[in-house]
Amino acid sequence: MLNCSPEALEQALARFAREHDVYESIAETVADEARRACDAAGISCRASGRAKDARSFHKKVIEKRYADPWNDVTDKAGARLILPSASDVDRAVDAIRSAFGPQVIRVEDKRNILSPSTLGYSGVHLQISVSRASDTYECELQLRTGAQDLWSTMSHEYLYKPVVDLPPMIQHAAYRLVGIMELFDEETERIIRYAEEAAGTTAARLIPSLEGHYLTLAHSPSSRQVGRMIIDAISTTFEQADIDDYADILDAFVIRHRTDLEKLYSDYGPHSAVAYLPTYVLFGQAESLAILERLSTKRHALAAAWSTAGMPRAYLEAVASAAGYDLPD
Amino acid sequence: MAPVALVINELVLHGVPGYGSLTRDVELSDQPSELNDGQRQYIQGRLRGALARRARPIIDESGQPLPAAIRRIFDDPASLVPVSREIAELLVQVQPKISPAGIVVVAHATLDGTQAVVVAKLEHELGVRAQQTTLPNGDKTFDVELIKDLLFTQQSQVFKVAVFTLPQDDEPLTGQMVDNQASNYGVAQFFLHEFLGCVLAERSDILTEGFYAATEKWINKLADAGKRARYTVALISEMQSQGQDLSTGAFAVRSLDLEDRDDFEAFVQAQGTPSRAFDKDTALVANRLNQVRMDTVSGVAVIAQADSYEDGTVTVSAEESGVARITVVDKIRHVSGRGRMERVQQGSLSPADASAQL
Repeated sequence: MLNCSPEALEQALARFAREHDVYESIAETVADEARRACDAAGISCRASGRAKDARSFHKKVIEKRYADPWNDVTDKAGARLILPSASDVDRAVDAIRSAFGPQVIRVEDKRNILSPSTLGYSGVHLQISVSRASDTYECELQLRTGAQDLWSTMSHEYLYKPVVDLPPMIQHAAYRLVGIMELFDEETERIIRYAEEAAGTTAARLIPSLEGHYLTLAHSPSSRQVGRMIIDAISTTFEQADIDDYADILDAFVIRHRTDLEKLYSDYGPHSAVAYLPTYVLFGQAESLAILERLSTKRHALAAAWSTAGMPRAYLEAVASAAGYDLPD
Repeated sequence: MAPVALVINELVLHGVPGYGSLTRDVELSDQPSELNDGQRQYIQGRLRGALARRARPIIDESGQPLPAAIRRIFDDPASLVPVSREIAELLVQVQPKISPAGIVVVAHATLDGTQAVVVAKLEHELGVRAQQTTLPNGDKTFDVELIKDLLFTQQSQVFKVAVFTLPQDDEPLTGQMVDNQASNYGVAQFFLHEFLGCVLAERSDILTEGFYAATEKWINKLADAGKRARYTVALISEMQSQGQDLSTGAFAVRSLDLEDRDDFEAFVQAQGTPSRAFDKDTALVANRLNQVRMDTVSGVAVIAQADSYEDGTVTVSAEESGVARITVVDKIRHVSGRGRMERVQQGSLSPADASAQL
């Protein structure tokens, strides 16, 4: 049942057909600018934009019983950002509001739970105003996580547009998936938080550089678990500036001593004839490079840290002796 | 990178008798010992460590037999075995009768890429080997065996080693020597003079003066006045101690806070002080070792025996903003009215306390 006159509907449909290309362009522009705002804020995302197709426009006016078909359909241009996590959605909203300023005329956060017993879609929608020549247009920008997008795409296809109505049990199955979607996003958030915290540790900051150089010198991978143990033991020898600049410090050390290091790892490394001796176990680890670098600059601090951490002195002595360093008592 | 990049190429071992040996005969080899790579790496690693810590530069005394033998090996590396036999015989001739039996090692090597010859005496060590075995009744136990001829174990201190590098034309033969058995960082005189035919190649008095000056310079760049006083007293104590050698590393460990040790070593080594140990000879700094003098920015001078800092008569503590408190707790014996001593006159006969900005 129409809630507007057939003439008003016809006029709206005709206008939308005429201006479809403009809305297509607006949708693409908003998607592109939103993606750039996220890039600038360091948020990765997938962006897309397109104009609503004419049939969807027509159906929406009828199904929603709009009285003013042209103005009541606010998503004639639609753009979408898919983000890695729920917190990225929040950060992206902030970045877009900041970038678009007063062009953001409305924010609708569908994650706000209005009814505890209801499950459903939970993205954030921003209504963006765009000026073209003397006219002003609107575009609906949807921000979702990957999981929300999966559910939304599925539900749109099977819950809202089915040719045959789904029985209640099957509809219920679709809504059960919302719980999984929310769990997925929450667990993703937890994983990201842990990874970010772990990435801030000295071990996490040093090991990638060490492994990169070690692979080219010793031609071997090494144990991350043992590596963390070694770096934790000697972490007090690194000042904050050392940690911040360690990639550069290590580059310079390896470049300056590359020939000696290659010989050292050839003689004592994981492919050498002494690799089976526990004494030379540290040469099997990428972190032996940090030990060698510390021996050349902070041998007292290194020896003290190693001892304080309760690590076997014989291992450290073996590295020092093989490289020709005097390890302090 | 490596301060000591010694690589062993070929190595000959000879057994030398010693105190308590049943025979005075040398057990000579006719061929170099075969070393697989693992053994080579282990031995050269142990030698590198010893040289990094204790090496003393040496130079030959003309006309001595061992330097002449080393030159023959440089001239003809194929002569390594026969010449090494002579070297073993020489050691037996010159070593004190009390010296224990051991192994003489003569090796052709490279040191920092230069041809080198290594001469070493390794002494046998005692050790125990335990191996699990099964008794006839099936019970498990360990068989314990005493091993009397171990050499060069990981913690071994019983070896003497010298490394000579290829000399330029008619230049004297030079090298480095380590005597792990000598007290502190000394060297056995018979090994250096009678066997190697060398003398130490460094002026101990000049090295000692350099160590003292560089350390004093480093101390005076510290912001903490309390540390400056404490380290100065430690430096003077180090100079006045009975120890016969100086080592930046050993001084740092004994006398400096951990956070200052690496900075100290980097500084004094940049000033030319060797990273290895050297003989202590205080002749050139003797007149600076009696008293510690502190001058403040406002013109106060405090002169005291180093002992006064150690027994607590004079203490220095850091206050805020670089200000130090110098406290003298003593009986005033005499007060005179000249020069800057007038400031001291303000005190009383009770323990005096003066604060000053250093």
